[in-house]
Amino acid sequence: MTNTASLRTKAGRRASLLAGVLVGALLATGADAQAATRPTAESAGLNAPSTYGIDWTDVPTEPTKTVVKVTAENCLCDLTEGTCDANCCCDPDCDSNEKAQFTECATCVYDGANAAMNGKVCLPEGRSPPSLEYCLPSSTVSRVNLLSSSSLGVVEQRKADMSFLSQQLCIKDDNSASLGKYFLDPGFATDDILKSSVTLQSERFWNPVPAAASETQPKYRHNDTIGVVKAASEPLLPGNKFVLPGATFSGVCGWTNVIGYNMPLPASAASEDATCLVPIDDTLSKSCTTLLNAKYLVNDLKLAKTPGSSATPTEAPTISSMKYRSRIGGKLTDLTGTVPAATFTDGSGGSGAADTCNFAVVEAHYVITHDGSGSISSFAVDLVFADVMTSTRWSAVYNANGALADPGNPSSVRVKYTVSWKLSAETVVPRSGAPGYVVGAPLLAGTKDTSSGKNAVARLKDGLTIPGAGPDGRCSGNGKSTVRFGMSQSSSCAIPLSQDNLKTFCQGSGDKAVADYLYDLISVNGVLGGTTPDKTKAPGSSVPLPAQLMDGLLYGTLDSNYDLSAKTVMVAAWANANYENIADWKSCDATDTTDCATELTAAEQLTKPSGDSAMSWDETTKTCKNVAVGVNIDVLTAKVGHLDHAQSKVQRVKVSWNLADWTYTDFPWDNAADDRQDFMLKSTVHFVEMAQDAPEGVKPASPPILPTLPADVFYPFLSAGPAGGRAAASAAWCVALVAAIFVAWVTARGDDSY
Amino acid sequence: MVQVYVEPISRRHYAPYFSVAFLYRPFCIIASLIIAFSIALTSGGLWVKTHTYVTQPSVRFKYDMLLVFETSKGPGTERVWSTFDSVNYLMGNKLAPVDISASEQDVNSDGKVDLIDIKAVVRGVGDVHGVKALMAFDYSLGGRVDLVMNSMAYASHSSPLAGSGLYVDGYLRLDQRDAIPAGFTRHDYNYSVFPFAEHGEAKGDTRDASTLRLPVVLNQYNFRNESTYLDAKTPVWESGNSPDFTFQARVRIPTSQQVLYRPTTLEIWKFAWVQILAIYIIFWWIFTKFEYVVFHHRIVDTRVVSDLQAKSHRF
Repeated sequence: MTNTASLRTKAGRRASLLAGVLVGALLATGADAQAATRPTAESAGLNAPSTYGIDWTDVPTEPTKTVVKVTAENCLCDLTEGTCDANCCCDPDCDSNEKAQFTECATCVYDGANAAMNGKVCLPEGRSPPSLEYCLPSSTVSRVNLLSSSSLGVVEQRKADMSFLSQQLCIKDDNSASLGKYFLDPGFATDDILKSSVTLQSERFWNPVPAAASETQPKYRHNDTIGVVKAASEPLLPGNKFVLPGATFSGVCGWTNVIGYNMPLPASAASEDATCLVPIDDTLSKSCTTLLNAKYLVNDLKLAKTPGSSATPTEAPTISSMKYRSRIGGKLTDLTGTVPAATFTDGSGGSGAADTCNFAVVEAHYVITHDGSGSISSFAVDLVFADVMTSTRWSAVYNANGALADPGNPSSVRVKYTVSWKLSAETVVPRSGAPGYVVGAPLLAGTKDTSSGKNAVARLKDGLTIPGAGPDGRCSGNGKSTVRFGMSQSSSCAIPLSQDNLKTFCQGSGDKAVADYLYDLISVNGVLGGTTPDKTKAPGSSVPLPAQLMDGLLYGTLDSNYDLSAKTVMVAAWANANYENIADWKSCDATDTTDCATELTAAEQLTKPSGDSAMSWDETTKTCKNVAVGVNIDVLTAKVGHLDHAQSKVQRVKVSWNLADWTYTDFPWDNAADDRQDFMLKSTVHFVEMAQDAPEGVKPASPPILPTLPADVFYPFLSAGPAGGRAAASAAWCVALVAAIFVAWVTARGDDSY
Repeated sequence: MVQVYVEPISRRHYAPYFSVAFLYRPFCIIASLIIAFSIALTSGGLWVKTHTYVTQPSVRFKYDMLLVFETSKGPGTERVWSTFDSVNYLMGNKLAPVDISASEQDVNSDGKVDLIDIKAVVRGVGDVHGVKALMAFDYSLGGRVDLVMNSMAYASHSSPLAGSGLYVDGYLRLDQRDAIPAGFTRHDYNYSVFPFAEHGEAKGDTRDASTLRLPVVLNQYNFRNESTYLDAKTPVWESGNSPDFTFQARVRIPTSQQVLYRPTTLEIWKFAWVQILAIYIIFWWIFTKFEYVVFHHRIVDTRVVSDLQAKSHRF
């Protein structure tokens, strides 16, 4: 059946081929030629296999195996069977006419035997055959296949050159059977040979070596993945594991944070925040139902208490706190009630909540409780929600009033996730090192708090902060920049002011808190429900702008509008200081106990610049002089401990103002009341290493008796260790002494008769 | 009569052990040595602390690779191709269909790979504006140092013009922060250059997303004392709106790779000895000449016996 069908098919194809040839012939002659028409109907399917036609008259009845000769005389440029390869001088398919058409080359000399190919460009034919020079005339045997094996190279016998030297070194007689190094045809390859060869090369292939399947353990081990348990009709996280959004190769969020048992996220205080970006373009509506949705991150999330498919689930996470973050300024407001799932409100830039993902989860901080022996007990989460608007919507907000020099509307929203682990009784408080600070970890700080006659430190979760920019580059009271140990920094942000605003501010007539000023400026025209600001209103200057943005932190004058003003600020000398033990945060002078180097009392903090440093307005140049544009924090650090493992600590902290002149570039076409320019606030932190004495040993080394020699005097023997110089000196003198005695004995010339 | 032979007659100086005269010659030898040593040391270069030699490294492609294609659709729409199950799993919705091939060629039949060609054609990802490629190799050095490590070649290019291909061609150069100690096998870095390939990480294993980021991967790699980089001075970006994009890398293995190494003690001594000896001979010659002055003019006490003087016999 199969053969018959096959023959029929072939017969059919031949008929089609014949028909095709006929059609081609007709078209060629032009007789009744018609343009080709499109098939009546397109359809899916595979094309017919494309093979070379078999001429069955050439097919032998009993095929015999062709012996492949791998000799040096192969013609490597003969790559086409049945036709002449251009410029392949050794191609047997090329006749003399074709060879005559090969590319001319006056200087070319053909290596092979065919002298007619001299003067032609010939393609590489492979290495020339090995040859031996014999002292025989060419008329005798000129060519011999030394061995009978068909797979060996051929050695050509040729007459030696007639030069004197060649005649001396030609071969008179040869009885060597060696033909040099060659590969033999290995013959039949078994399946075992293939397997062993594959195994040997297994690591060098596109398919990686499969990892051994890990056994399921009854309890979690460190870094095991954590399962999520599916309830009926509830959706799952990717891979049925506890996975949180994380940055992909472009920084945009994907499900890439696979959480491991007892593995915090981020891995340490000094490592990068576990943040990623969610674009707020057309894809926001989808992100709103997935990445940003509390349904997947909180409501339906139940972790498997132990590994395995039949593990019991935890309850859905306890909500430790819920906050709503405002769209402008990022102010957090406490929320109560059940956790809302995010919903997307479509729209076209109108008022209200159009084009907005409502109640998107922009921060989720998980605290997972375990029993210490590999089981998860429960978990809790702190949530921050925000209404995330599309970029179209932001454009409407920023551009509606035209009051800003540069709208700077965002194109994505940054979301943040953390995971921490604890035993049931623990409170998780991250450290910045133990005991010394790790470079890059937040500088621990807080304010002194008193209750019932006892003192403690209200430790700031973000550590010490300085004013920074919000997502749009403008100053924001909630967009602070964390001071990180060992990293001197400069943080700036913009405040848009018109000429009138600047003058009013400079002359001290402004009466708006800077946060209110910025909020009103951006959220005008009712897009976000704000009111159009009075053009004459300007930021107040009774409290310098940096102090306003830092909620009074490091500002020594009490002001009821700023919670942290005039509060004693403590900076931890050691990175593992306990905030409930204020003594760990102080390092006071032994004689003057009021001078505690890392404690800044209100008197040691900043006050409004006055006198020569006071702010003043120059109408001629439109310049506001001596604006307190930021704080400068000098942090003195020192190293303590063994030279190879020194720990860093904070020795002293001092704050001062950064003052600058703000000049409004007054173009004639500017409207003094409406055209705003960006003025930069700039705060700085300077980490300075204390000038310390050289590292000391417990027992000082004794002074050298012999002259000190260079440390590398006997380098190959004494190349390591700090005491190399002194040891080398001692060794040098010892060697010299021994050598002297030895030489004395050797050089004494016997015969002590006299 | 003619003189046919000259036979020197000596005046022999004798002195007790540990006398000044006895110690004069050892003193000269020691002094010559110390002076020679001091001059050799203070003039610099006595102890050869680092040396270089030239070799061709043995390099094999590990078939570990990560490709990131950045498209015109903007951030977050990059497409990824990798040989790592763990990455492919996490990037499940960003994977690119790639037709990739690699070959290793030993051009001069010396048993060492000279060329590694890698060609990847990606289709269906839209206009490509940027490519980042990380390729891993098994790298070993022989000769004066014995080094076995995993190394990497990184190639990247981006263009405001959509591309149809990126072609990089360069040498895989060794980059050393410090000399490699000679005399023992060094395999400190014989582990994967990709943190997500360590310990045979399988798909779905735990993974902090930050360790996937290329700056983190490259930062960890660049901390190594020995690493490699692709010295491709002539990258070619073929611009064009094409339905496919070709990334082709030709990694050449330098036949003359300079390797900085710390010599063994014997080698250090060999170079030091010839310097000391050369200076010692000069001073020994000077002291020998001065010896004549010392003994001939009786600067030190010796008992002198001439060969002309009859030897007294003891009975």
